Amino acid sequence: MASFGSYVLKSAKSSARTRFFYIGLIVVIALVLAGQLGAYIQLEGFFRTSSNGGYLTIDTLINYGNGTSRWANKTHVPPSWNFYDLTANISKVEATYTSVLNEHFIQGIDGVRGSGRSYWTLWTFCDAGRGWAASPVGADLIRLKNRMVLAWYFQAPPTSDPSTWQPPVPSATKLSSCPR
Amino acid sequence: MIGIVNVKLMDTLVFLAAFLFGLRIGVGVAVVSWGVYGFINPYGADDLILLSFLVAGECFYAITGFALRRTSLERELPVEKKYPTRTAMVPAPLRTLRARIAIRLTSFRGFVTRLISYGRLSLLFGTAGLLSTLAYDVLTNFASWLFKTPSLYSALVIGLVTGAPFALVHEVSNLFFFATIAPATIIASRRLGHG
Repeated sequence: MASFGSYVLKSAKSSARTRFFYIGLIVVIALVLAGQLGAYIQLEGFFRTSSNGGYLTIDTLINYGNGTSRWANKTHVPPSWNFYDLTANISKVEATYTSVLNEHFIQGIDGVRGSGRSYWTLWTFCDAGRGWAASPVGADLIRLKNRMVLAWYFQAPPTSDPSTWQPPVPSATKLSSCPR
Repeated sequence: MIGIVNVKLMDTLVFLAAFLFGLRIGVGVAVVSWGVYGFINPYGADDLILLSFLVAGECFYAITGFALRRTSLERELPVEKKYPTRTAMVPAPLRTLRARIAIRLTSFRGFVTRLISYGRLSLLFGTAGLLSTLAYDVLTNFASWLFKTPSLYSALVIGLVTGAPFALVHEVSNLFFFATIAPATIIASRRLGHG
């Protein structure tokens, strides 16, 4: 036991001389890897916030109101497109164009046409409030931004007042407007 | 290993060549390796300018190997086997409890000593490999953007950021290879009387 004790003491003394050196090596390794990891995270962040090669990435939900919904996720669109262009690109749209308003009135999407009190409502997902808000403008006037999430919901609301509309995702948070 | 991007044993081999056989051999291995790898590569051949930077970068491993050989590390390599044996270390009567404990402690002491010795060696070689790889990555990522950006500073910054994922893989893999393969190969070759 005594020899083991002296061994431990001897080891402690000799290792004390070189301890800082080896700790220094570990610090160097940690610094180099942390630096590279930082650069990597920086690069990831750049790609996350910027458009994809000049294109915008948009997620679109189409709720047909009959229990069927369809997500068109990560659609890459040119920055010049509006939401009507995107909708027409990912689905079969029936619309009438009003030149005075410079707007398309959506009558049907993928064969689901408005009738009686049922029509297509337009929604935008608000990152700030983590909820859906009815769009105050039509699809033609929605300027797309990267990582935007938008939705069409076919429903028969009791009134034309958006506060009485149901959000496109059942039990999701509904906001009166997107918080700034 | 071509399927795993930026993980390559070539760097460790260049380092080993320089450590065991000298700088000239190490640089020769680096140049010949890139001479082949730069032209015959499923990802495509490199242009001559980039290839010259790659060869220069690869020489960092040869320089590191040569420099490490000239340090006191060379003398401290555990070339001779000095493993304590139970009979040699415990002369006391074996039937006593104290003797049995002594046997266990001696074995444990030998194990810990070897572990610390090899661990330190791995740490040294690993750090050397990591720093060489960092130098290689900085140079080659800079060279990749040298003629595509308006200034040298832009080339450096863009090269470092855009090359970061590849550099990270390269550095972690080389840290592992240099910490494991390099010391094991050097000790084995010394024990066999080579280098």
